[in-house]
Amino acid sequence: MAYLITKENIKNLLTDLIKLKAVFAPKKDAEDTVLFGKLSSSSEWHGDALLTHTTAKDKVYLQSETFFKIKRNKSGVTIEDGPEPEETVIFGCRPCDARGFDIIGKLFNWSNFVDEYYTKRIAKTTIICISCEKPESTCFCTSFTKGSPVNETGSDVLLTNIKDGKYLAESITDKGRKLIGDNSKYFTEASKADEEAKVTFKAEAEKKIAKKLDLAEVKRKLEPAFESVYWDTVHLPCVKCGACTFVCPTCYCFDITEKAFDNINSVRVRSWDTCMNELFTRMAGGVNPRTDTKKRFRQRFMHKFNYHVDNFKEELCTGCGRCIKACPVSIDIRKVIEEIR
Amino acid sequence: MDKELQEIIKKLLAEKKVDWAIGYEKAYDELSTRPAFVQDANDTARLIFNKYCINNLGLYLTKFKKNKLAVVCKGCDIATVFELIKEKQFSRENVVVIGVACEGVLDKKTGKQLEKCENCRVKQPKGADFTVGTGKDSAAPKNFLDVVEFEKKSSKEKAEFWNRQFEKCIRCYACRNVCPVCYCPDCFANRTMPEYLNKNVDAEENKLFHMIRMQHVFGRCTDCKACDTACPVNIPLTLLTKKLAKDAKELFNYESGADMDVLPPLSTYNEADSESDIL
Amino acid sequence: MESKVKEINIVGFLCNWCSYAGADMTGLGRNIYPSNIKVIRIPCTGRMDPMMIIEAFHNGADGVLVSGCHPGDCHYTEGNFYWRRRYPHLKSLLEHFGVDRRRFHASWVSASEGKKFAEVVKKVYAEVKDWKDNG
Repeated sequence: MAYLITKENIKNLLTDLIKLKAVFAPKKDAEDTVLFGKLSSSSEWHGDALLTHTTAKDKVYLQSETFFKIKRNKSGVTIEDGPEPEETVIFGCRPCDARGFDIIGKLFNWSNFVDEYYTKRIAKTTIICISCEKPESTCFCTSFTKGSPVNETGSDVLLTNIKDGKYLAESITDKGRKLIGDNSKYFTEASKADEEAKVTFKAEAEKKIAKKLDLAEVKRKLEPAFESVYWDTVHLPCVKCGACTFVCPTCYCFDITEKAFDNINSVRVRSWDTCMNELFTRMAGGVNPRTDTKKRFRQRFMHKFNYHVDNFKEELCTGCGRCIKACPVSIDIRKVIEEIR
Repeated sequence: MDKELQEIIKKLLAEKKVDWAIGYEKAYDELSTRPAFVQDANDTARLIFNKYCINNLGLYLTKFKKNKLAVVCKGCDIATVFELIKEKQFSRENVVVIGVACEGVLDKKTGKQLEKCENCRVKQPKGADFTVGTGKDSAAPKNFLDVVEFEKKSSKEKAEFWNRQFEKCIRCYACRNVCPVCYCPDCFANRTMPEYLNKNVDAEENKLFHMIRMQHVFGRCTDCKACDTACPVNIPLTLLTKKLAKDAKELFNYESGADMDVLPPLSTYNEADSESDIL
Repeated sequence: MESKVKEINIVGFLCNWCSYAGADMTGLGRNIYPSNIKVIRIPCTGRMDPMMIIEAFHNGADGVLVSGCHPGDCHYTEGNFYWRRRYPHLKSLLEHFGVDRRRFHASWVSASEGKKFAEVVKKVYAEVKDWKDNG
């Protein structure tokens, strides 16, 4: 079911939501960094930027998630659960971010393995996504089967700016329908013409995405390329920081550690980790199967476009292009996988 | 200019004077360049130099210790190379420095010229083996106005400012990994026994990382801004590196990479050093 | 002592050869000084890793005092000369990060200067207390 909502009413809707829930939306700070931050008023929403510098992933899959607190007392230890997630709205993320939740959601619910921390949080999160009007040179979402500037996978409500200040609102899931139902005073019903306007919008936006990769071909080339000499030289500029993986909407690797505050209090924490980090694969005793920087670099691409496809029939990438922008040495993921031999 | 640069590198590679040449090539769009590694003399056509060549290629010298290298350096990057030679990370004979005259570089994220380029006195590179192009140095010396301004704040305001910054930090270690003088094979941040830095990411822990890193590069940091431009969330690390440069200058009259005969300030001492602050 | 006074935590890194012996001498001479200082013995101020000072502040120390031999008296000849260079830079950097300059001090205390050690600790304590009370 599609509705219409004006920009004014979006702000009113935000104001209402802020009162009830934790609303995260793109916010700009003094250094021009646009990040998902908790809104205290609707005017803080910065909707002009195409992409935030980091993804909305860290609002559901926290960078550091406290599993439980450990407290020592005279009789032994007490274990206390981490903080309960609150009702959250992620507002103004892009289709590529939203699709990231879909991809890692499958991973965290892989057959019998259910990650309760992620599942609990995503169940309490409503994702309101805004279609991309002006994709940038780093965007390549159309290369993916489900990817497009107006793609709805992963989002609960999708907003598309069909004409100046008028947004087409589509409820995708029950959560989305509930959100629109609860705030129905801000929405009006959309006509057939409005829904058709979205088709034009899609065509216009897709035209701006110049790069389209043949991912089936990439997969075919990657499979036998593990020992390829290609990796010997292509990794050379890479400095092995984790910028690409930490800004990625789909990278999910983590490490579990304990942090002790003093002799009495400590916590067990899950923090993001990255395949680019040497420590990531170092085992107790010091053995490290991926010592070489080349091996770590290769792992990132192999995982995203080969191993993950084997397991989930989709790539571990949404084509948002953040890694390309965040990379200090401008390594282009598209170029790396395209030129594989 | 690109032609001249390519010819020099072509000759060096063809004559087997170097194993690898490190320069710049075009990356994904007009505003971005990336480091290019050239091994084959016929492959030099992709090398370029323009105002978007922001990376400090001195970074790769410590990673290729066994090879003979030719490195394309802006005037400011040469300071890094000399600083690393001074620290005996590799020998002068193993590196051919190709200086390129530079009119200032632009940040790919903001499209603005870097602040360090305004008062740059090494637009015409000094001390290189080959020099391409000519540049005009600025008349005014480097100033520390923004640091002085920041120092006026109270310690509470400073702590609040940095807390806000380090809340953004995602600890991707881009700043550390692009830093040419951060070459420790075993960084304190990766050490687990004892553990200096917990993996838990919060403002306090992030601040600890940055404090220790800054203290580690004092007197060695050439204020090249590689960390500042690499930060994916725009933390103004320049405020810190500039502070280091200012302290080195004011406390020990030292400028990193400037004079090959002067030892870094913390690896030497003078019996007449001031001790006004010591109880 | 009032409870508020107890709350102040000062970490003292004392060099084995002079200041640590000096602190012993303070006790022997029955000099009174604030008990807020927790002493850690280090081989020499030249061995004083700045990282440990930063860690001390990170882990909640209100103040840090590093004390060693007088210049020229170092057991290892020149250790304290290196420390004398490290100290002003570290203090300046910590201040830049928002660690107040009243919280970090260095001193020279020889093995015989028991009285001076008590004076130094009193002074450091007063400064840290001033910071804690007045911000």
